[in-house]
Amino acid sequence: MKRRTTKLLHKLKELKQEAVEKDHSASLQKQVIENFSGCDDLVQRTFPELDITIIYFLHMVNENLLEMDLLVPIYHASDETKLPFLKRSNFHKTDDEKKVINGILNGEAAVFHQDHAYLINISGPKQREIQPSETETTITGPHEGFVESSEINLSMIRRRVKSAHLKINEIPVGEVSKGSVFVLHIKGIANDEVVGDMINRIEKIEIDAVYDAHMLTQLIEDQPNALFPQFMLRERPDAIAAALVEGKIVVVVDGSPAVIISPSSFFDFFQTGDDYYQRWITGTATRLLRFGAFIITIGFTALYVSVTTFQYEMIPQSLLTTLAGSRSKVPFNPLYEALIMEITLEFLREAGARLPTKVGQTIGIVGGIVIGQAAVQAGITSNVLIIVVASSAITSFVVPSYVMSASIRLARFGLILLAGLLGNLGIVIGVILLVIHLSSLTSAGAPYLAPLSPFFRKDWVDFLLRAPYSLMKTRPALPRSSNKKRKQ
Amino acid sequence: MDRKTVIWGIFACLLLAGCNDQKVIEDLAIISMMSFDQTDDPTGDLKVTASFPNLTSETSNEEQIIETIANSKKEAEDLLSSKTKQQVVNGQIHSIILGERFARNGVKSVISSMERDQEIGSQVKVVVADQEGTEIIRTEVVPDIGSYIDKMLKTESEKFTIPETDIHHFSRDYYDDGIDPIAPLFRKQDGRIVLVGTALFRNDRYVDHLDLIQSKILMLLLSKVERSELTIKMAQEEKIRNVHFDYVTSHRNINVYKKGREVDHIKIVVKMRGSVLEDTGEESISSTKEIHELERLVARHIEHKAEDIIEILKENQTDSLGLGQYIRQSLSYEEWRTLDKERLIETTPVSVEVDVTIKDTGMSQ
Repeated sequence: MKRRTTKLLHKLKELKQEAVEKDHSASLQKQVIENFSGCDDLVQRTFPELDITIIYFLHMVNENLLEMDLLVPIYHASDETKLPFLKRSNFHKTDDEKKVINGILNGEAAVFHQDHAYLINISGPKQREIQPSETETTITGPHEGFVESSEINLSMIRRRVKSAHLKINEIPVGEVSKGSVFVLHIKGIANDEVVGDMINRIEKIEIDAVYDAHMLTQLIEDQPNALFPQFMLRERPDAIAAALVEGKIVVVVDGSPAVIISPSSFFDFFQTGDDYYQRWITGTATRLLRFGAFIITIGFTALYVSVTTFQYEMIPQSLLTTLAGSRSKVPFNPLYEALIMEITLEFLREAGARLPTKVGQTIGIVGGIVIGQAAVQAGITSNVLIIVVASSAITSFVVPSYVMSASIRLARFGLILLAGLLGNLGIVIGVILLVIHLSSLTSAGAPYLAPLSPFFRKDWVDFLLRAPYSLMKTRPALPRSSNKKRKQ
Repeated sequence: MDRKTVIWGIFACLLLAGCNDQKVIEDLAIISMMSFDQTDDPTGDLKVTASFPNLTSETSNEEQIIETIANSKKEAEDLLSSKTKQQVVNGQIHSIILGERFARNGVKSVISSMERDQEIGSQVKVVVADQEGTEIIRTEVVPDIGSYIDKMLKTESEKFTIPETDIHHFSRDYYDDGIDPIAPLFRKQDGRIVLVGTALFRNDRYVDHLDLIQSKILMLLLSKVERSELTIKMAQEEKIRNVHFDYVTSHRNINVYKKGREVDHIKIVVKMRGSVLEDTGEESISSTKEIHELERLVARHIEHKAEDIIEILKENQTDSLGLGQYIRQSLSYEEWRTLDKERLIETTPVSVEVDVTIKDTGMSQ
């Protein structure tokens, strides 16, 4: 009894499978269309005399390619049995429903003929053209910046590093969006262990979707709760090529014009392309200027608060009358006075960043008049404080990386509070805390304050100074490159 | 550190700001200058006058002056505070004026009190007044007397006219048994503040003073001088010959000559180099021979002046040149200890030798 039933059941199964296979082409096409039901931008074109149906997304394909590679051969085909173009290498034959759906989603066209499906890549969505990067402008050097398409970005990098050793690993990220993330390194220069670690980190990400490289960095950072960014992002292909050549790893996220450099040190955030393209003396001078700006932006307002609240002895005699005179009408304690001004300035900056350029000008005028003159005349703030706040705001924009500059501005508020509480002692405590925090950070396992601490003597040629190229003989220690000597 | 601690920390910073030893600058009477005078008042023997800038508006340069009588400096500060709405602070004092009577009676108490005060830096200048110190502060011709005297001291000491004496140097010279302190001397004349010369102290008591020309020569004997000038008046055949000697450098050497174990005499050798820019003499000074003659004349003149100064020092038994230090160096500690330091300068013969080199006589030759 039992044996008969199992035999019957087995036969039934076989029959069913046969029926499924017979019905395959029709059902494949049907299933695909069913999957896309409700997608009004799906185009379905049928050529009954040839037994051909093509399906694609209207906005995902390039019309020229569609015409040249697909429609023209179809028009020229005379016979249902003779379709030579389907054997061309750009047509990929597949019977897998999932592959077909993914292909269509990526901008390919699916051609259904007889029982089979063929995919042809004619993708070419509308994209932003290559333009100079707005967040990272340089005066000298190349002007092109990355765009949102990873294909274009990768091509820009490949054009700059023409080496077969440039390896690219593609990793899908995002459970829903299925975005692509590319990990780039130069084999023989980059440390394989570090590359493996980076790939591992990206593979471990569990998230619905990643929209931007800045978002990705937060998912792969060593210390996500730290005040400072641990990965440098650049929007310029020349900077990325330079990082690759130094043995660093580069991560390109599809849909983002920013590219992650790993590992990065704190001081990398103060470098720009101009440093390298200008003569080394001017390059060094601007770099020193930037570090000076960093010190002013983080400590100047705090110093004002501590000097006017506690350490009046520090004020030069000739400045004393000006300072005390301008403070005499102000009803607030210097700490609150400084906080009010700093926060107002942050309001202005944030409003200016969000508003379209045409309206943004209004902010500048209103802010300039209200803060520059009216606040002083009304006796809400002192003249000297305005100069202090303005100079620390200007210097905060000297820091090339916007992400870093935002972190520094936040740290500044901490210092101002401490200065208002304990004076110069408070500033010292704040600076000590900041140094402790910075030196405890790592970027992809590499020390964040290198080459200052730990001290890498050889890397000082490209740190506070930008030494002549003849002196840059070794690659930086930070990426733990497997090939230390440059020019090899 | 968990998040709660951080949030409470920030909260505390905001709320506790102000619960501290705050000195917000507009609430301070920041004293720029202080004077000390002796009084016969029954409440105390020390009259302290302080001036501080009026900081109520940016443009005003007004000074406010407060005065009190007390027994000590700290007590005076306490009393001064009650005479103004602001808090009196010392952190910006740039100079102190010692009135003549007060200086003659000894200034040790004030100087050591200022040295101990952590608010007062060691670079506060010490100045002696030829009259009551309070009169100098109450000069109305210049609006900001504190910075006026400060600048005057700076320019004059850069020209090596007067010594630049601060609290640190003053008390160092006072405690050193081989030297006595000196300080610039000011006087109010026709409503203006003028520099008179150098006040000589014996220990902490003001004893005598040198005029401006003498104090220039004192500077030559005291240390190396980098750049200064001297107008020399010489009697010559019923006329007075004026020679303006502009010296670039002047080096000084002090040699102690001993006879056995005793100090025999001290010789001060000054080597000067410079140019003569003005000469009202009859003959021109173009030839080398005449220049050598002039060198000799100038040297003799300076030597005479220097000997006069040493005479004054000997009279007052004060060792402003620090000759005691050189004697000390040449003796063993035991010998130095047994020496009569009070009469040391008076009894030791001192000679001065000046060597002048005139390197040119100006641009047009």
